[in-house]
Amino acid sequence: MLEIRSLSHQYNAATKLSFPDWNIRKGEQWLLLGESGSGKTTLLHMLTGIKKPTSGEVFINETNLYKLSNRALDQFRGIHIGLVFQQPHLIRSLTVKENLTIAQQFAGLKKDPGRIDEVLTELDIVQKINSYPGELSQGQLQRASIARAVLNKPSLLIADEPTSSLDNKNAKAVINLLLKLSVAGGSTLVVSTHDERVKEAFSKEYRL
Amino acid sequence: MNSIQISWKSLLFNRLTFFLNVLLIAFGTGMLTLLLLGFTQAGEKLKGNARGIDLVVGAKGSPLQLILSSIYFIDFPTGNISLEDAQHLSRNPMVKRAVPLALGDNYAGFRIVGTDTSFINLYHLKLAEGKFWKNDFDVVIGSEVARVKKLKIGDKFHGSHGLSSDQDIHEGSQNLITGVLAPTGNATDNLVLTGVESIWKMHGMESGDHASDDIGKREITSLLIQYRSRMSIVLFPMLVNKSTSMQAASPAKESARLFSLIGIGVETAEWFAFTLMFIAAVSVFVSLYNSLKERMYDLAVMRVTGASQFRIFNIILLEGVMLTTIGSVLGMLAGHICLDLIGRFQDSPQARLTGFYFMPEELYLIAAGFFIGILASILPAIQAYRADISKTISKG
Repeated sequence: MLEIRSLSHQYNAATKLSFPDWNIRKGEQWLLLGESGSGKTTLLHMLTGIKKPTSGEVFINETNLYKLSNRALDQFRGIHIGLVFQQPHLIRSLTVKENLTIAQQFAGLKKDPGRIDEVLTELDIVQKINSYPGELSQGQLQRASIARAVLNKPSLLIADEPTSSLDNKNAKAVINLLLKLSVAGGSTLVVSTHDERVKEAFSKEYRL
Repeated sequence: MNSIQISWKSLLFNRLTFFLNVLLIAFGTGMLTLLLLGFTQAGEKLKGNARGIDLVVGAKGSPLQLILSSIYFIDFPTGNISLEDAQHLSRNPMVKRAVPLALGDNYAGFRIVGTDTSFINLYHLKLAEGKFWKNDFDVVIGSEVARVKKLKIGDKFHGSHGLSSDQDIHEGSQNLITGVLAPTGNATDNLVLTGVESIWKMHGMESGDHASDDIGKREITSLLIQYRSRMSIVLFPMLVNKSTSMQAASPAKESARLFSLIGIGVETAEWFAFTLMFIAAVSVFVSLYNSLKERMYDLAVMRVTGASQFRIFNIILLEGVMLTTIGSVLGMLAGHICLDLIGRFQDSPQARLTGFYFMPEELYLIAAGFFIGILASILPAIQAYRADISKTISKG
């Protein structure tokens, strides 16, 4: 369901990053490994459709991402791709519920409060549904931001170093959560990390 | 949630900045509203009072003072003219109507005007109840006088000498109210009308000087003149000024002069208000621009979850527009309230201003608020539109 072909990114005249071709089938769970600065985030952003590669192509569900119009790409991303950020981030002026509601609407889907309740219950923060991000702990914020990523049942769930700022226990919990959610929602999972603690949970690796 | 709700919540998130900007806009708009309404109302009152009056003839002195005292009943009269001269002038063929005025007394600050029935016809006065004066010391009061002093037909009062104080009370005959005028919206609402003879008798009686019965010594304050034809505009004032000891003043000319004098002050205040609006626009711009730095990540997150560039552009633009529109609407309301308060505490009831007065021009002020919002937020909105999401997120 995900395929990259001869993808490369030119930072400046001197530095050019090329990425090996990669083929992911539906429902697979992959680890993206590499040192800091090896281009993990760059590659993930290309997969998400927010960074146009200098050359090469990205296909998700047979759709050539960078052949889409800007507007179509935004919408495609909202529906098909869930992104878990390195730093969990919700919009500060909106409650958790509103944050999730706009994620549904921006993707062009109907408001579905039932689905929001469901996801938040699954992640055990439904009691914070009407709280503002400033009132959440870091762990709760992390879970709320994961909730947003899986809300629209994306076919591709991407997490960029989700454990880098967490202790062992929480890192493990988050990885398990991502694995569980991707299976439950039928999403393909790609997790980037340089964190050794994460490795054992995955069988497939793509190394930079 | 639509873009409006998202923008609104974002505005509320920075309450203090929101408050400051609304305050700035409201202050500027409020001042412009106040000036617009006040100046227009004052102008209308001036025009309304002078309607139908082509010329005022009175004692020599300042022509503006003559107009102010005889038409608007605000300044002191310039002096008296002899009834004989006045009557002579009234018989001139160029004159269609001449209304005599005898001023000098007041009741609790409301001027008592001695005149005749031509005054009633000139201002098209109608009675709300009762009848016009017939005997000496009968008076008809304006609607405002009746309202403020809670007077009704059959009530009696003593007038006082002078134009504003009620210290020097005329002892002797009391005035009897025989009628109350219907409201007209001009200076007559604030007058006490009576026959010229009542005024003479009031003063004659006090001094005990019966020589004033002699017509040659009788005096009035001024004469309001309506021409038979527009042709007389040039000729008649010249005749009065050259061949008599009286002066002629044109209400149109003097009000225009007065207006241009007030105009300078109004213009200064207007520039001040425009400057305020400009400062407000800059402040809104700076606030949005600064908050944009902090909000880039928010906006990038929205983009990642599917929001289009146009959506982001809209959200920022709406914030600016909502802020300034709210500010200008509040400012307009404040302007009305302020003007009404000024009207309530105003000294001269003849030109009382009211806040319950609306003008189509006020819509321009709201539109101006709207455009200031666009102007102040367009650059930040463009910047947000162009932002590189990938870079924003990588920076964290």
